Amino acid sequence: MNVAPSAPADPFDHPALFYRDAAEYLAGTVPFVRDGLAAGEPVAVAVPEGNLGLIRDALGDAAREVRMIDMSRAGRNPGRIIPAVLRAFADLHPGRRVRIVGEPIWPGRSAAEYVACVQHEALINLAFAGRDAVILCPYDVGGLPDEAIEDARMTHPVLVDGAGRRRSADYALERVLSACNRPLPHPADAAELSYGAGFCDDPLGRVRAFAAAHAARFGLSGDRLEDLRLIASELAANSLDHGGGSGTVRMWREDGRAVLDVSDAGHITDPLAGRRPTPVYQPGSRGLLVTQLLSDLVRVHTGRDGTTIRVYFDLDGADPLPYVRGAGDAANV
Amino acid sequence: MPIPGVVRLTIQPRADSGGPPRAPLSAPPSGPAPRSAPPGLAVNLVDPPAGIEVVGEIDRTTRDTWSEALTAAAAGAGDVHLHLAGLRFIDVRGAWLITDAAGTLPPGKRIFLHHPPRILRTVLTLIGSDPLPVVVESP
Repeated sequence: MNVAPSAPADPFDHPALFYRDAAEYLAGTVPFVRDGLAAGEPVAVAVPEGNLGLIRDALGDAAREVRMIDMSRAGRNPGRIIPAVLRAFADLHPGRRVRIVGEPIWPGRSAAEYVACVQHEALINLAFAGRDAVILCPYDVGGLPDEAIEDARMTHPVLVDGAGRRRSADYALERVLSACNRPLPHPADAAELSYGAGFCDDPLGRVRAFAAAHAARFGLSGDRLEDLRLIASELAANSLDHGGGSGTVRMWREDGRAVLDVSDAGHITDPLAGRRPTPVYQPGSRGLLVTQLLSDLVRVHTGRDGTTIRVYFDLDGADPLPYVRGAGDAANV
Repeated sequence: MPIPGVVRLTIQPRADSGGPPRAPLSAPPSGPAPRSAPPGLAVNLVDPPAGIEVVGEIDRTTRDTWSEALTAAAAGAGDVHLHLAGLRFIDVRGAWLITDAAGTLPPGKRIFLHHPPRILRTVLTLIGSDPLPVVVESP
């Protein structure tokens, strides 16, 4: 990132908070929240359930003035945190400085989720560049592997711990985004269907039927099966419109999840594709946004040689709608 | 029930029996010749309440027919009623087109969705249709 020396300072502030125990957690977050309330700023706390309770108890009555969000549900898919949590809150308060505690990474995230989490943390810097906002991201130094703390130093321009606040010497946005854009090999025995130019008629109907049949075979049912069917259709339509006119969809079951994998010849050059809430009055593609909002995990590998978008649905997962419904509404403000 | 524009887009007889009665389709008014629908989507004129019944799937393949039907329905007098019990699929753009049509309505007019599939209600929620006059009449 080249910033001219004369450029005005970016009002966006994105510190990582390294904590070792509940006392350090509260010492790092509660004054941050109270200072925001005292300054009249809208404040949200989006952290996993247990930590949410800690902060709520410590705030007492003041908790009623804070938007409290269970990140383990709203942020189940790291790729939807920007549109459905961070911007959904910030966009409700246009022109005002907002303050958010956002904890997207916790012990227990799978390896595939973790890469998406790091990518998400890096993309926050792009999504909020130039906006008057501060997003404080707590990291559990005791519970997370050392690698996660090293990554946090690369995704946050500022670091905070018991010793105070300092600039991160390791901040490396472009390097992180490049490292997260990694190949996504598929299992050899995945079910496979190619569609589009040179293949069958009614490509999207065929893709929907293929996706629904295999997802049902893996154990997905009801509303979530319908959600996955929609996403399969959206991603295949993207192939027809932007991915060279054809593509391949693959499906398999992996660790209690149904996996939908769509590959085509397209190249996604916008790193925030699918992560921008779009006002309903505005035309434009929303397929990737809806994919992020409805999925339990999305991974993307894209380049000049083509794009693979991999979507995971938990077979025992909950309907995400109650946790993501603010994404579109806030964009209309 | 003369709603110019809607009749013009009425394309295929309904395949199933039952559901709301619909206006006869055999005598389209003067104007452009009836178009043929792409396979997979039929848009029928129904009455009452005045509106269109959609049977089939709305995606990239059938989008233009859907868009024209919505535009014509929104241009008629009164509220717009979409009978959607026979809608087996609608994609994100197809759902957005409903909000786009709703945005063109004069004040006081609304689009009523009769028996929309759950995925349509989900997508309308996700894309933020709240400020628009789209009413789910019978979930």
